Amino acid sequence: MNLRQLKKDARITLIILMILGAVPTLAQHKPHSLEISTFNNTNIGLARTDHMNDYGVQARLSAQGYYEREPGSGFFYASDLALTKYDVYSNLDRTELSTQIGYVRKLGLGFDKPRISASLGMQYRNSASEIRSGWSIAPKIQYSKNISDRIAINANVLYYRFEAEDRIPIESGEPGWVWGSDNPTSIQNTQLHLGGEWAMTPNSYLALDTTYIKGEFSSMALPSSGLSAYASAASQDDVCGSTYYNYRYQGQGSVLALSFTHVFSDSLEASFRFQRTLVDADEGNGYGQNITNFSLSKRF
Amino acid sequence: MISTICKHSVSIPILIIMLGLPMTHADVVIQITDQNGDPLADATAVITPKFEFDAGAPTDAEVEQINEQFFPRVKVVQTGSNIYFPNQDQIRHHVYSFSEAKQFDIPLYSGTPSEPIRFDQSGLVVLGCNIHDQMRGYILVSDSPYFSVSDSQGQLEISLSETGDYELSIWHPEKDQQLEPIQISIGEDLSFSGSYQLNTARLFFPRRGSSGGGYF
Repeated sequence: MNLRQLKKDARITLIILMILGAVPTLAQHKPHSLEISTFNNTNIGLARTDHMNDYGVQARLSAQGYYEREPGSGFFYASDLALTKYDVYSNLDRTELSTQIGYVRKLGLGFDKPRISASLGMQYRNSASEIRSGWSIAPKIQYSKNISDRIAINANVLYYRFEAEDRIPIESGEPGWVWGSDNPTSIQNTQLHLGGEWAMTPNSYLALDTTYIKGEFSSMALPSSGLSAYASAASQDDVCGSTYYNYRYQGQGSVLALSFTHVFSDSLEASFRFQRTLVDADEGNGYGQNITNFSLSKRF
Repeated sequence: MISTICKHSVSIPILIIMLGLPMTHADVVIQITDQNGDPLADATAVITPKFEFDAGAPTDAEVEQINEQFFPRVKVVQTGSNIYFPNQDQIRHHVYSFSEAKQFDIPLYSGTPSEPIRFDQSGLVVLGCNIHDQMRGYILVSDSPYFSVSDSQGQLEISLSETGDYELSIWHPEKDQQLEPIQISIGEDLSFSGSYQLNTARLFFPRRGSSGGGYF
């Protein structure tokens, strides 16, 4: 076993331990949850895409913990294991292990006092698409506050970096890389997020989240010289067959998400979410997609 | 049946009926409903004598924290009472109040704090937890020893030991109207029952910005 494999195994083990280790004494009343989701992904007609139109299901097991070490401040962590399966494009199937650790400080005593947190997120993704497997990190700084009895807001800025594992099977005889020395799905960008939640009734919540992203994006398209002019790397894609390429670009994008959650009890809730992503939409070579998601979550 | 003897200036529906029963003291029974006619729990009734009275010694009380909620959500105690705040959860809480009647905080604890909090001024005390923002509790500190809180059926009972004129004050944490005290008179061997309808607006809070909803 080489050093790289050892590091990978150690990181996976660490995440699993953090999921299993969410003991209630450090966490909230019911710190674990199991969520089952079904979703639909629709591309909206731009040149590029990061997925093809498809349906899928996801199961997510989560745990979170919080340890307030002194009044108003403490450490937290959140971990989850997610399994995703697509209907048609099975190479998008993936397993993700994620964890986030951080420190939060509440600025004062009271319902409306803001919280500031700094955290580091890590994720390992094992995708059936070999060029989409890899590690990501995401350090984040967040501000959150209840601005009234019914409305809470939060804002954060994060740096996102994904390092893909280069696992195109060169030995199959197909060319691994079209150009560029690394995997075009390895990207880094900066994200600014603003969000808010409105408690509509005692059992229902409406949330609006917006994200602005600047930096690198990876997306799939049929090969063309126009797209190649913008790309810093490209390879054949392994989701829709070798007729598609995967390109890495510099660009900017936005994500708008609206979600409605109904709480049935203190341990069961359902959520409907609509999300629209647009990347370089004005450049004529961008990509855009709509995702609708319905989930059922049980806390325990 | 004896005629209704109450004066009130509020525009809410109210019905007070006095029943002549052979008792040595007056039992006050009140049914409280919301604007839909549904029983309203957690409403308080405090009856204050309009004559000199012996309030007696206040007794100790408890307000627990169970499943990230205060229990009971509404508590009435007599002025001078000591209240313990046992934390029955496996997580820690940080209970506080900014209310004029009592300002305090109990930073970050498990189990039962060894020292109770003394409530030596009448008025409303709103409780919060600085970790779990959605937790909200209420303590009504009363100079009168005659008080009660409505149960899940919206009913409450208060026993009075003396006849005379009293002032009945009803309150609920989710009341959506001004509530004026009601003047009542209790004669010899009388019981007192009534129904009271309140307009309420549910209190609820966002989940982000609190533990489990927005740290991350």
